[in-house]
This record gives sequence, C-alpha cells and structure tokens, in this order.
Amino acid sequence: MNFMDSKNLGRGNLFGQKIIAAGKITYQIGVGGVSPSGDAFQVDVGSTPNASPMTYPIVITLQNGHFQVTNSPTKIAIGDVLTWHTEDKGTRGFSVSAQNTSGYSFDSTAMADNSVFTHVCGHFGVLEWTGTYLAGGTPKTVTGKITTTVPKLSTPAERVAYQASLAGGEIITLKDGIVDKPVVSITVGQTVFFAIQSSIGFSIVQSGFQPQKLRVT
Amino acid sequence: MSDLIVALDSTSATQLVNAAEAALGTLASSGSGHLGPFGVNWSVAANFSGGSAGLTPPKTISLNTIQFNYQIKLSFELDLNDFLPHGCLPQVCVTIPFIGQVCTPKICVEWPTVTIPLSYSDALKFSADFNLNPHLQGNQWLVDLVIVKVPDLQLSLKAAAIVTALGAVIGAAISVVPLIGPFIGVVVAAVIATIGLAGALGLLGDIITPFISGRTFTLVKQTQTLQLLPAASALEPAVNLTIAALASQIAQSDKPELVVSANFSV
Repeated sequence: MNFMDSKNLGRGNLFGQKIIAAGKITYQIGVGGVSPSGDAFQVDVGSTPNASPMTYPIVITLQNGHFQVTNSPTKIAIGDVLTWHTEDKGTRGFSVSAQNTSGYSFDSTAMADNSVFTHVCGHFGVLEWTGTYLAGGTPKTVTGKITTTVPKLSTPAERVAYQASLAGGEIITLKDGIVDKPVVSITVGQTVFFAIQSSIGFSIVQSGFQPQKLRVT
Repeated sequence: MSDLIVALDSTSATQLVNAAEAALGTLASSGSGHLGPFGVNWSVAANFSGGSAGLTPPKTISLNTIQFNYQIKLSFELDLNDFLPHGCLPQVCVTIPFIGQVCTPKICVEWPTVTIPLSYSDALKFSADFNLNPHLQGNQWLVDLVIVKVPDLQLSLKAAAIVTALGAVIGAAISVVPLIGPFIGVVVAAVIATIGLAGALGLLGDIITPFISGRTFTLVKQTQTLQLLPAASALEPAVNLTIAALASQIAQSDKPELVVSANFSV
C-alpha cells in the first residue's frame, strides 16, 4: 500500500465482479498483468437469482510462492457478487481472471461491465489517475484527480468524526468512457470505489502525485 | 642575550592566529551517543576561523570571538509504534446500483520503523585564554597556543536550533508512511518532547567539547637546524645553524607585544 494500480492488487485494494452468467466458472489468481498460474478454483453459478443478491468476499494470501484462497464459495446464484482482496501486506501484485465453458469471462487487469476496483488513499496530496479502455478495439484514456486531505484531530470530537468518516467512501462510476466524478476530494484513509458500469478492458493506474506541503507546528 | 628577537603587536599576532586556524584545516570525528532516549551514530566536520588576539603579559593570548564552524550528520531509528496507537481502518460497505453491496475488509495498520537522518550546519563563537608553549618536537621548534580552560560555550541556543531542524526532518521522513498523514504533527511533537532540549544539549556538548578542550594552535613552526653553507668538499663539510633555544612571552613596552627569541649554535 499505496501506489494505485488496478492491474496489481495488494492490501488496500479489492476487485469485485457481479456474475451475470450461469454455469461453472473457473478462476485463477495470478501475478498482476501476467497470465495466471497456480491452482484453479471453481464456482457453480445457479440460473435462479437470489431475491437479494449475495456478496462473497474471497481472501487471498501468498504461501510458499503460491496464491491461496479462503472463503471461496462453491455455489452461488446468478447476480451474486464475488470480491477478492488480501489482508496480508506481503501479498502484492495479484490479479484475478475467470471464464466459464460458455465463453463468459472476466479479468481484473481488463475490467468490464459490472466490476469494481477499490483503493485506500493513504497519502495526502493530489493523486492523478489515468484509466485506459477499449472503444471499438482502439485504446482510449480518461483521467481524474483525487485530492486527499488531512483531517483535523485537535479535539476528541474531531477524532471521533474522522474515525467515523473512514467507514465511508467515494464511488466513481465509469460508463462508456464517461467518468461521472473526474475530480473528488476525500480524507486520507478513506476508500475510492471505481465502479465500471459498462466498458471493455478497463484499467486504472496512478499517473501522478503531488504531495501536500507539510506544516509542522 | 638572545641572538634573534622577533616582536609582534596584537594585529600581527591576530594574523598569526588566523593563519594557524587555516593551517589546522578541517577536523573530523565520529562516534555514537544518545539524543534523549534514541541511540544515534554521528559524524562531524569542523574548523576554526576568525577571532582577534589580545596580548596579556607574561604569556597569555586572549582569542576573542573565534568562530567554530561545524557540520553534524547523525541518524537514528524511530519505531513509530512507540508513538502511535495501533489502529484499524474499518470495513467500508457501499451499494453500487448496478452491482450490489461491496464491502472492503478491515485493515489494521502496523507502523514501520523509520530512519531519521539529520545533516545540520552551524557556527559557534567563543572567546578563551591561551598560554604560549614553545617546545622542541623532534627536529621542529613549535610555539603553540594552548587553551587554558574550556569556556562556557552557550550551547542552549544551538541545541534549540537542532531540535527545530529535527522537527522538520522527522516530518519529512515519516510523510512517506501510508496513512500517517493525520498523525505527522502528533509524532513530531511527541518525538521532540521525548528528546527535549536537554537531550540535544547533551549530545551537542559531547560532540563539540572535545574539539575545544585542550585546543592547540601552532603559531610558529621552525626546523631546528638550518644549513648556512653546503659542503664544499670532503674537507669542508656543510655549515649548519642550530636553534639551541626558543622562547616566547608577552612583553609590555609601549604596548604589549608577542616576543619570540632564539639562541643559535653553529
């Protein structure tokens, strides 16, 4: 933590995918941006959706050079959401790719419809990001800025307020190359959710950072 | 009666002192010590410059407002866990209309140990009495000025300046730690309070005092034996002039003067 790169996930990141096709999905965890390797994990996706879609958080760790998963479900319903994250700061730079036998696939390094990438902003300043996607087979880019500010912690009330603010985040939606909030401002420690409503091959990387000047008193 | 007498007034003596300071060059030292509770490794480069000489019979030269220029480099390890609470970022759950509920995990923060480097330059002015010490060292006659005692160096202001500089350095060094943003001021204030002026003063005294205690400046350096005539033949060896004795004092005539006198033998 804390360089932002959706192709290389680590602690402070999460990739999520809403599953919109029934059948047997096989997913693998790989090193970011490289073909996945290692064990494959299967999830049966039933064709009847749940009344309230479920979300299944899958936890990734690196053990003896192999990516391991815990909490991976064996059966879900169409419309449910799978998310992948790590809680281990030594597990860095992973990606998720999946496919089923009917041609449905998804890949965290090239996000498409109904996927989400999250990032905890740990440094204060202005983070510039660039999103790359495919439009008609041609790579295109969008850009944005995230201003991360330092909260006031002088009083107990301010400290309580800051702690409460960490439970919230900012959602940035991307749809067909349009970013709904290209400029956002959050407090250091808060989370940004990049929600891809419709896109092909989308990835996000930090393209610049201007730290905020320190004032030590 | 001396064979040769050289008398210098305070102006000329000052020039001799300044030349002696330049000849001493840059002095270096290194070591380890404590900055408050923190163990530090330090190195220092220093030199002397400036000042004026006052002459007081029979053998005291007062050097006034000598400047001691120093650059200190030190580093120590700062374990942030000693100053910051262990905390966790809470789980964040949002509902994305076209996806559903997405929740991030709770993330607990372990703070790292950060190396704090400080490079600090400053100058200290002091005045002190020195006694003349003419002596033969090997085949060299030396007239040294030897400090009588270490003066009160007035280091408090210098220590306070180091503490201020340290605050900025600590802030910059820890700013790269993720999530530390809200706590930088807390850490800097806590570390500075832990070190305290006493801690900086103690370390500064340990570093600087050895440069001044026992300080010697060599005003005159002269080879004992001088060759007057080279050897002409095996029967006519070289003719040498030897400085048999060298003395120095502060004498008072119409004004005080540094007097260096020599006796020769052939």
